[in-house]
Amino acid sequence: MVVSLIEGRDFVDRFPSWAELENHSKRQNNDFSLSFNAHNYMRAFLFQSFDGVVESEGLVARLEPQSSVRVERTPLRPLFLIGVSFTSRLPERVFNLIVVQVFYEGLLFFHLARLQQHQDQQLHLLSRGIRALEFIKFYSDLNPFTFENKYLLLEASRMELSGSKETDLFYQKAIKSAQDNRFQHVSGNQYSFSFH
Amino acid sequence: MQEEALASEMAGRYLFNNGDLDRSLEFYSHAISKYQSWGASAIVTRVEYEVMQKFGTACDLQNGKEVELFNDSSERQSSISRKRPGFV
Repeated sequence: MVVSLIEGRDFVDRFPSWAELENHSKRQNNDFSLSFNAHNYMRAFLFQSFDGVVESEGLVARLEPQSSVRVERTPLRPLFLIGVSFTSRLPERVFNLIVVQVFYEGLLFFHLARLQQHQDQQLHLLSRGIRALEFIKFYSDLNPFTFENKYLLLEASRMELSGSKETDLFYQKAIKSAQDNRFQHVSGNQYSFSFH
Repeated sequence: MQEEALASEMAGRYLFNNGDLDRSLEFYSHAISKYQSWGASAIVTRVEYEVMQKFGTACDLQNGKEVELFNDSSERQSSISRKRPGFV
């Protein structure tokens, strides 16, 4: 692909394809893997193409209540539950990837639950979606500037599934929140880490 | 930007499934406009295709128009001129 940049210079991209990334040797690397999975879920939802998404690779699956990790209720508790360790300060980039992945996993679970005909499977997907919703709500309560619109969108999606009359309102709230906080995401993320 | 687009697209889909076609198209248009601003041309193509499938090729997407939020629902209900004829 050739892209024209400023000053009339052409740039031939050397970006790897998605398939190349999927089979990349660095796939075992934690950082690469986290980044790949987060974008894989985002890509699956934005393109409405769910074939390449494996539930077992998701972070929400690790949020099951039978988790043996016992941590006091601190702002970091949800992260402990999905196995993030805090031997050093968590880079903002890593935290963002975790939130993005959980958010898109939640949207996917609610969407797939809507399409699901079997009640057992629908309930399973719904419960996974609700876990993602609770995770995002936790951080939305702490830092609404950054996370509120994600929480509202997941809530609207859950309400749609349950046939709530407030679904329309929550979709609008999600849009309004995204508009209001459009320029505050970076500073908001910085704020979210000031507590530790 | 992308989350405003995503929320608008999902609202558009929800409204379409509930028969509120005019508002659905309004939200879809807003979503496309925001995806364009984000630079996500492949997603714009995907959403435009979905809109064409739902509304037909002659629909007016009104790109760039801001969506109206929090209108009084009773006023809005009376202004709905078209309803989806039935669910497939």
